[in-house]
Amino acid sequence: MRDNSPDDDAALIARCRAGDAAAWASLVSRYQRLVYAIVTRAGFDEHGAADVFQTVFQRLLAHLPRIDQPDRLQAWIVTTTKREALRERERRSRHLSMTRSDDDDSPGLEDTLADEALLAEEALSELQQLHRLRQGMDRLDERCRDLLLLVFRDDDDHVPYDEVARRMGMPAGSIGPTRSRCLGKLRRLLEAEEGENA
Amino acid sequence: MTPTDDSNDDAFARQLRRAVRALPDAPESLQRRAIGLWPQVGALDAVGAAVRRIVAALSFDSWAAPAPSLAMRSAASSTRHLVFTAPGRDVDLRTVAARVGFTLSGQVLGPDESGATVELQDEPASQPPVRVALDDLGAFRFDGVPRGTYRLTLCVGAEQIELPPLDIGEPAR
Repeated sequence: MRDNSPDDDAALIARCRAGDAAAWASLVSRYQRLVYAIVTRAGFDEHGAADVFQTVFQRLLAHLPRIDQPDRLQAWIVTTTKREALRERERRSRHLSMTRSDDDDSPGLEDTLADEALLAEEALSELQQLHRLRQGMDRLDERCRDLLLLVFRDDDDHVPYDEVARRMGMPAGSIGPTRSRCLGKLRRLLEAEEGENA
Repeated sequence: MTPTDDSNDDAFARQLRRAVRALPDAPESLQRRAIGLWPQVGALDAVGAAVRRIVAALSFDSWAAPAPSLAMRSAASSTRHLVFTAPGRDVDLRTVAARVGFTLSGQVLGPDESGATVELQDEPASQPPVRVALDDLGAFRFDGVPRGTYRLTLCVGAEQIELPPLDIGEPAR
């Protein structure tokens, strides 16, 4: 799956190969959420997550000169992140089993890790679909993107419409209709992208 | 707006809400470190330099031993079997005469690595290299390879494993 915008994956890879540091920053920015989501699902603490995250982007940098199917980049990143996460888990598990004593009743790594099913192929495939939606949001105009992010963020951080209106500098009564128009824009953008890739 | 539009909008909004929640931004510090991986000078060369180059050594050649005469060797088998060894990996190669040119097939034996590719380049280079991906079993194949000398390079993870020059269609020198 790819878009045909000037900075689609193929264009970014080509620019990276030509030595464009900004293209690398864009590539990191484009895939940081997907890598982080997978690493988080693997149940690492802050340090473990940071290590795996960094390793994945190191591998991507090393892999750049050899990418001949840019449209498969997302799949490559998902596979690489999962593999690096599992490797790191195995490494930590071995370390833990060597350092744990028999009477140690602290929880083992296997008890603290996230649900194994979260890294199953089906779950990762669904995550890639969600990533496509999330990337679509990035291509919306700033006003729509900010509004949708405010409206759809975590329940814990849920922002009431009055506050959304204040932050967006809009009347509260126009939040609902504007939200609906922005959803429409995003849907059309994604449909157009699907049409181009069909 | 019809009820169907409303329900479609609701379903789309629910999906979007899931996307926003499932894919939060990575912490700024992680993003900065990843962006900072970019080499500072000679970007393209430096990106290439991030790849570790390893030269594999020939460890077996079916045409090399035991040594019957060249004529007998050709008559005995048109298939040549070679094994190259690199740290952590072996590359098993076979060349066989085909109706057109030769078929070069092989398998990489070692840790699984998705996205690995094998590149075949004639030497001296007169054509663009041909690159194929390894399949699930680490196997690869090039068909219709003309007689000549070639370089085979395995690109796996952050490593490039280069095989010594390979004479296809000729006994080993």
